[in-house]
Amino acid sequence: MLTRLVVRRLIFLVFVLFGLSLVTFSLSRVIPGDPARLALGPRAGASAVEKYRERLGLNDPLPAQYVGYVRNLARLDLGESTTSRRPVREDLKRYLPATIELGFYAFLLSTLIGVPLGVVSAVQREKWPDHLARFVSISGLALPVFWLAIMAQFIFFGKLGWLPDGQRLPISDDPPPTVTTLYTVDALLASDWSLAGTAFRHLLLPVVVLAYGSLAVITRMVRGGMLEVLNQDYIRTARAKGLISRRVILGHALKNALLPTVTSLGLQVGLLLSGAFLVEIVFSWPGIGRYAVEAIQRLDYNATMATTLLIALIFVLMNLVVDILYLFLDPRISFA
Amino acid sequence: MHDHDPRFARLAAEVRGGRLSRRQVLETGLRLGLASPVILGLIEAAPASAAPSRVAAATRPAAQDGEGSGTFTLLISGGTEDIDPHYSYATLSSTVALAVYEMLIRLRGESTDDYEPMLAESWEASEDQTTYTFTLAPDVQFQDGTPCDAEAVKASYTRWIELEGSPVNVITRFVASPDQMVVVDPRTIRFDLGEAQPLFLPAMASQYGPSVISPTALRENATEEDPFAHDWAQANAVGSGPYELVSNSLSEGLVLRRFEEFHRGWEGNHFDEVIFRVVPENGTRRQLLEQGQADAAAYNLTVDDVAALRDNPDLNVVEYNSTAVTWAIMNVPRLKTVEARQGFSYAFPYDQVVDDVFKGLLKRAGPVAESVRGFDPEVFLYSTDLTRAKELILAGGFAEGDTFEYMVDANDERESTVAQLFQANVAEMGFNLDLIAVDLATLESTIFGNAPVEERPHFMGGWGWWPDYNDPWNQLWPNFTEENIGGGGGNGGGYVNARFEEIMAEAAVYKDEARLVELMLEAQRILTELDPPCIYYGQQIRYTILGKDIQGYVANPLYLDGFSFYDLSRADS
Repeated sequence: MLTRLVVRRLIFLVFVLFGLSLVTFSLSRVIPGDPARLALGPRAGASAVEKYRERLGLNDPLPAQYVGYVRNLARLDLGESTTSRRPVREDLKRYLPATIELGFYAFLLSTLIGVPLGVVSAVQREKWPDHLARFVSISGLALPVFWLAIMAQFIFFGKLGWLPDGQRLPISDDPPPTVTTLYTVDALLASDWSLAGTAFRHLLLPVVVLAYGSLAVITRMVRGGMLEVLNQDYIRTARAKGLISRRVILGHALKNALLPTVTSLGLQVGLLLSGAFLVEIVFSWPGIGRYAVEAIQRLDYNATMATTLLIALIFVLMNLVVDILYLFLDPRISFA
Repeated sequence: MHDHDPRFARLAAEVRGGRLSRRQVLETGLRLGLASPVILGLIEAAPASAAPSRVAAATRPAAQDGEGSGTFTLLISGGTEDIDPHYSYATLSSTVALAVYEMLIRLRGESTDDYEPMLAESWEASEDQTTYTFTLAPDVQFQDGTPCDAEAVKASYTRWIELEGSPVNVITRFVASPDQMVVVDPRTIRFDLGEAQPLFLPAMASQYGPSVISPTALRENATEEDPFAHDWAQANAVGSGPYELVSNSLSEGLVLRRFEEFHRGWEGNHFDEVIFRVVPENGTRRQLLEQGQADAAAYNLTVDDVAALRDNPDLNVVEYNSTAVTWAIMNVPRLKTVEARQGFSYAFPYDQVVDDVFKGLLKRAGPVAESVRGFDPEVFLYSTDLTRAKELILAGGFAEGDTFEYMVDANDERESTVAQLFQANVAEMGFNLDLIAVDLATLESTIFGNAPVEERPHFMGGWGWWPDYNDPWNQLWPNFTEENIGGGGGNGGGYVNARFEEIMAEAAVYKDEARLVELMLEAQRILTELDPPCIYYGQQIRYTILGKDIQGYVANPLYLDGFSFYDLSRADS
């Protein structure tokens, strides 16, 4: 059943990517503006702009441009970026690890804090831990991520000077030898404790800011799920049988309350990716979000389409993982 | 094989001296096209982190005699995707070029018409100004160890002409063919221009194009598809300037380190390293300056930030008149008559724009800035007079209640405010002004595109220009001549004035400065009082914000946001 599910989803993925490529391609071409002119600047002569348009294939008819794009895409050739003037595939290799590192720690942080906070909040309902958790979750949902990022930077870098303003590492410092592409992990693997410390210090603010919104959602989901489950008969039965409270909560209630949260965790990946667009700008983080923003601003067709497709791919794959997890968490569920 | 390559020898020496980090070795090795095993061998020998950290450098004590000043960190809002000086017109690219490359000459200090040596130690024009001869400084080397002689200058400028990149007009206006460049001897190059060209020296000192690139590096990186090695030169650089490029990342910035063999030497106090650090967020750039963790930022903060930083005792805000003029284009066919355009010129809220929007970072001017030759000190400037404006607009063929369109870049907060203030004045007169907020790409394609002018909005705001070199023709021709309507030209409003066309034709090949000034005074009168194609807000006051301990900075109106990094140093504390 699992194999069938995976195969079915992967076939579905091809259609999703094809549809997305068509929509993104059409939308990008509808926007008025000349990417070649924008890339070369207002002072560039008409002949230089024309030559660049020719090089980018922008003078071809639209259907021919799309067919060419899809053909190249099948060969994993994503075209040239007018933002970086490099192949987009090379750019993705360069920028994606920074976003993965940021997103990974943000996901970890939001889950590791969000789940226990939700549990405590439900168990200690209407007591101060619950109020605290609700404050955290409501503020996390209410505060825009860009505002939070600017304020965090202003306080912890600008006023207190405790943390760096951004970047993965200071520009003069060497990154660790590449193993996983995550600077923190690679520095630890290289036993370069000082570099690992620097990388963690640089990560702290952007990760906390990015994680805050997801943490709020997870806390609320877990709290809601727990409150519902804690009123179920089987929980009362478990308590009546004399099981200790911790065992009831963690062993019986949490497992069932987590089901909707797992769905939410899959969606959080999307939330983290969209949040990364803003966080990466504020914290000068050289990731895919910033690359995408610059690409959109510069009408960089190939880079915009590639980042859109990449994000869609990640999103669909994460939801596939969630569906698979469902099968293990709840044997009653079938995707047949 | 690499042992005989001077670039490899230099790289190996740098590694042995512990002056390059592993990343820098990797990047330099790749840039030089070294084989992977060779690069890996060098990486093995390199320390993990050779360069001082940015923060440490920024706060290090002042240099003693004979020591370098450490690191100079310049904040930029975005990286530069193309640093090829023969191809790119980006201001940031030319700022990088002024550090890595050399031109034959450059403008001296603040002057816009006095020159000082760079590669050329002397130069001479023939009496009739048809030939110019430059004598190069002796024993100049490129950063790859090859000689920078007259042949190299000719080869580099031949590429500039043949590549046909964005700033090609800066040279082809005077030197259409490489045959006009004659290598007299290894230290002497002569330009035979064929006719009197008083503006040749200004063009050779332009911030766009005249950099000399190592022909050896270009040759080695050329391919069949890319004979000019543009793909290589857009991210790499080998010049003869004081700093060599160590790393270049679009998202993080550039690192330059001093070129030990620079022909002017390193006596005295200079920076060892120059970092262009990408910080996209305005507020972060301001905080870094306030914290002393960066040394400079040029024209990339908000006007409010600049106003606040003027009072900061740790910073020095240098403001200077630039050659850039800002205006709103008027659509000539759609505004029907001269009277209507004059009327709208009277309707513009000049004082509010200068004082409240630009907060003093703008000075009223016509189409030519005061630092450009031919500037008319008595140029006609409109003032806000809504009564007169309304009379003229009504006399110009419009009726009360008529609606006009004003296109503006939605992401430009300042220009959006300008548009709203203008909208309020237009409404006060009994007309309507619809604001069309678009992105920059749309605004640019509207102005430069091929759509009929009649289909464009009545006004296209937030536009402007500055000349490539000190020449009013270079400022006016691209924006107001008939030849530049559509097809990529900058005359977005479709302006045509017969007398102005005659003036431009004569000024293009002028021989006599007095006659040029006479023509330009007339041109400015046409473009303002008699037949205005634009509403001119004023000339930009550019600014550079520096740490108080940075010395040696001089702003030049023609080198927008430029730095002579070699002349900078950190003062004794």
